[in-house]
Amino acid sequence: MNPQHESGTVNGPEHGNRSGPNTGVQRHTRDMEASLATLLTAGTALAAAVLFLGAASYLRTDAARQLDFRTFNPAEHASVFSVFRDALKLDGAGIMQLGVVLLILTPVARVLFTLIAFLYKRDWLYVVVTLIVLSVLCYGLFGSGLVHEG
Amino acid sequence: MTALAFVLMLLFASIGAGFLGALTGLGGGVVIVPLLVLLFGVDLRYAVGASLVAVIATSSGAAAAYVREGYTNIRVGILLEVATVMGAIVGAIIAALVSKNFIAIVFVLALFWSAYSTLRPPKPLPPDQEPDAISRKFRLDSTYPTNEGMVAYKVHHVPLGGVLMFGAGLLSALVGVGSGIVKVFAMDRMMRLPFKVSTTTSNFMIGVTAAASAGVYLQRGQIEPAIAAPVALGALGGSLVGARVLPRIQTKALRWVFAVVVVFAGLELLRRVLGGTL
Repeated sequence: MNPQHESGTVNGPEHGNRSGPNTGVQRHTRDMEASLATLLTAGTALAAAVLFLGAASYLRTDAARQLDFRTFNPAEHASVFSVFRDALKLDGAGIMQLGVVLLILTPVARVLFTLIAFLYKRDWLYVVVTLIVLSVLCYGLFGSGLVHEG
Repeated sequence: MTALAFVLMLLFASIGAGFLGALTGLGGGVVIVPLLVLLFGVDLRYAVGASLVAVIATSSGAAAAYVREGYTNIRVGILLEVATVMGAIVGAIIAALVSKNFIAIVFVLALFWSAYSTLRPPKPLPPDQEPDAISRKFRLDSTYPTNEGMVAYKVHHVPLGGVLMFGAGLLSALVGVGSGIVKVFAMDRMMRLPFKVSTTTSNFMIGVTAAASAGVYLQRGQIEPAIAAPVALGALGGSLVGARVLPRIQTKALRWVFAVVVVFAGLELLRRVLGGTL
């Protein structure tokens, strides 16, 4: 991928006079894409490792337990914070739930990362857009339990 | 069933679901929900929660590769995520208010649409090079790699895309699927992004969309770790293997198998709804 050629096709004649700084922006975008990909891979791999450990430790202690999920019967209302607390008890179910939360937090971390990248580029329009996405996500993760208590 | 049998069987079944999801390009959700409900006797509410977690895993796993290859339009993704996450929260709220049968019927309709679009992939549209004011304001026009080098494209109908994306988020949260079909339909057909950019950007958005509703379901107790962990691990593993073999196999026969399985699952779900046994 040739950045010179790329900046030419992206910006076309209408931004031709800004081709110098734009080439830098393009390279910056490439770097951002690579870091973003690494973040997604790392988050998924970490979550998968925790899920695997949790499942293994759950089966070591609870292999013979009879499971029945035919009716929805929420024993307790979890929250992102309570999951981290329960995982510290190091029981299988708690570790599995931590893995689930790490999976859920991976896309959130991705949004946070793009927010920082847009802040760094002083791209205020997209800072605002990303902040909206992030606040809705945070509402889903932390705030919605308060509304649907019980 | 003992926990050992349940977790191991679910793990292997989910590997198959993830594999099929990657090969047909529809993700695992449409297979995982009926798998859990029909074969493992899991309540639909747990099935939706576990499926969303698996959808996040497969989406994040695949998104890394697509972003690195330069197909994903990150700006389009983030802008439309405003609509999908809002739709997801609304969908998760609606899910608590409607009956299980209602959710099941919406899911069956999504299954039938999936089967149809697998068998009849839309014909490629010619690129639309007309400039668009909103697209220019948000700098959405971009380039993507092809065999002939980087090719420029223009983005259109952003507000219409946003409305469809809100619907995609709502559907995703309500029935526990990635809603990739709706997202690709919006980007490829309406906003006129190249097909490859549409599918990869859709995948990029799916994780964030599902994370919004999964957060709500977690707090509602709908995400049971003994179900979600093997499903997410299996689907992730299966989808990674599927993505590897995809370039080397013919998927036509597989698409038929997928469509038949999906239609059969839909009819069985419908039978249970009508018989009051869901």
